[in-house]
Amino acid sequence: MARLLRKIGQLTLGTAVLTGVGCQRDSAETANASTSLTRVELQLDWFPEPAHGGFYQAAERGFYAEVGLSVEILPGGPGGRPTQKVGSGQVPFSMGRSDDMMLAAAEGLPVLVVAALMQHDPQALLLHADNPVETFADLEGHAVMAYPGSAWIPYLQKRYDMEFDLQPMSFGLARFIADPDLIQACFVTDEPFRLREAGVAIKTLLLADSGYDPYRVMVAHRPFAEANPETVRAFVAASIRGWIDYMEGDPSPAHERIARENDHMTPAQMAFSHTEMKSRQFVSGRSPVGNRYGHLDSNRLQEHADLLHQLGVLESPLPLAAYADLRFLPSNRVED
Amino acid sequence: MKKASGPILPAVVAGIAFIALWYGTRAMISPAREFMLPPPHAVLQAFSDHADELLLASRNTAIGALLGFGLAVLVAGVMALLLSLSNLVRAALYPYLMMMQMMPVIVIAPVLVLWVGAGLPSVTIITFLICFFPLVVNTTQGLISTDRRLVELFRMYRATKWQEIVRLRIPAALPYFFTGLRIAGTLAPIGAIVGDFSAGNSGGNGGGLGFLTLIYGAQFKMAALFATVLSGCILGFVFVAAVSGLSWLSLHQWHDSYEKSDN
Repeated sequence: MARLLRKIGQLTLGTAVLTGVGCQRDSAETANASTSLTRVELQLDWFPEPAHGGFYQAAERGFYAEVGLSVEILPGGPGGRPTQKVGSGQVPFSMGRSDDMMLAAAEGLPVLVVAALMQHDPQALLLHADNPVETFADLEGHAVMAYPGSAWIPYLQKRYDMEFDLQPMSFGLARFIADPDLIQACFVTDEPFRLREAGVAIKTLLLADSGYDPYRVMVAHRPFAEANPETVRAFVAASIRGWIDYMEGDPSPAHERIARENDHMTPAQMAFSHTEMKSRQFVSGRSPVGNRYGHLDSNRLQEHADLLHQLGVLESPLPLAAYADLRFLPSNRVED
Repeated sequence: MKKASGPILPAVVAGIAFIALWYGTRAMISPAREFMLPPPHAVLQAFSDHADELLLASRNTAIGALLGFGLAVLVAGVMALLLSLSNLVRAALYPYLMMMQMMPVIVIAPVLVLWVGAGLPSVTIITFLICFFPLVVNTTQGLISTDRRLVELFRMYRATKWQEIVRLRIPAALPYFFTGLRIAGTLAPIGAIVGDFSAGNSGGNGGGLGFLTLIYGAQFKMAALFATVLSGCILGFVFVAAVSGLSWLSLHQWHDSYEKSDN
């Protein structure tokens, strides 16, 4: 019996062992990076799109290779579950929202926030232009199509002391176009373009404007980060460099790659997304002290964790160390 | 019901072995991966922690399952009668019934939400779509499989077509109907959960088990997810038990399958 159990355990752990093999290599080989690159995977949260632009820019401009990395960027999609993948160690790196990472860490997933990807999340509510709802407070009694379980839902309901019905997300815009009363979650950098192309007049409410303002973050598998701090540091530095280059420089290397990997991405759509990200300062942040690419503020993170605890989404207070480690950031991107 | 006491012991032993295997597997997992498989007692703990939520969601799912299942029984009954009347009708309609079964729920769900609205109406129709096919196929088969000699007997005595259907064909089709009903009974709660998952609505009394699955999944609550699975299983058992009871009530006095014997 015991042998059988061990066998099953080994089967379950097979993937961990495979990942481990990759980890051991890098300490020896980063020294002569030009001849041999350390291979790591980055799991995206959606099909390739400009919201992933900085990673593709880093890959295409050779920033990863310069620090000894060969990064395989894995596309996601509905049900892609990047957090579960990075939590279980199937991939060393992934991305997501900082509040989701707090929830995941609180439930025992070994995920670690290592850098900011965007200072503000582009998630918004999408409404038809003539919808009487003008502000978040007007949502009372309406139905909203979103991801049930998202932490911004109890936040809005508590802050504005209101109730609204939730419907699970269906992927696509057909229902939105057909139903003039529908309100659904969207990325302000994405769906508005497609709807305007289709001739639908819309408006959006940016969730960050409600006061619920998580980061979008780069995430590492915690045991991987502990065993390979240099690889994580290199990945973070090159990714931030890619994001700065993508937002401030010529985005076409990333856009050409995204167009190759996602047939639905047109140049016009990508230009729209890039402009939206830039004008709304999602990636650089809205700080008056200059850009904050990659920057994480421990106070801001902690305030958000405390907020989730107050909302009852987190059952107990969650210390920063449980979900984030700021030591992987380049020294000029840590604290002020 | 001498048979019933027999299978209990092996089932209990298999259950204990399963739980032992569960604990054993978990003991082999490295700490970083423990979140992937909560131990049985954590699932029970989550079951009691979230009891109110789970109970309400189970109730909502049960309502959707019952409505869809009931609708399927009614429509399948009428449809089976129609199909049993002639080979021509069967040949004409059968491919389209198959097509109904082939329709992927996740594709049809957004359309249904458009047509009838999210929540109970959509959940009911999705459950109906999933339950309908096994019912109509089995019942039709039953209606056209009546013993030829009995049919000839009825005709010899100049029974009307109506008498033939009500007194002979329908009773003779009952065992087939109940086979379909049992399959549909296991599918109904699953249909309602899938429906809720893709076309639910948190309004009114809150969503069903599919909705809870989404919430616990988004919040990485693995033990609570397992507890939701358990609730779905219990609901399924209740449905199957009810169908088996009904089947026993209507068949045990005359049908061979309920004949008392020790073999």
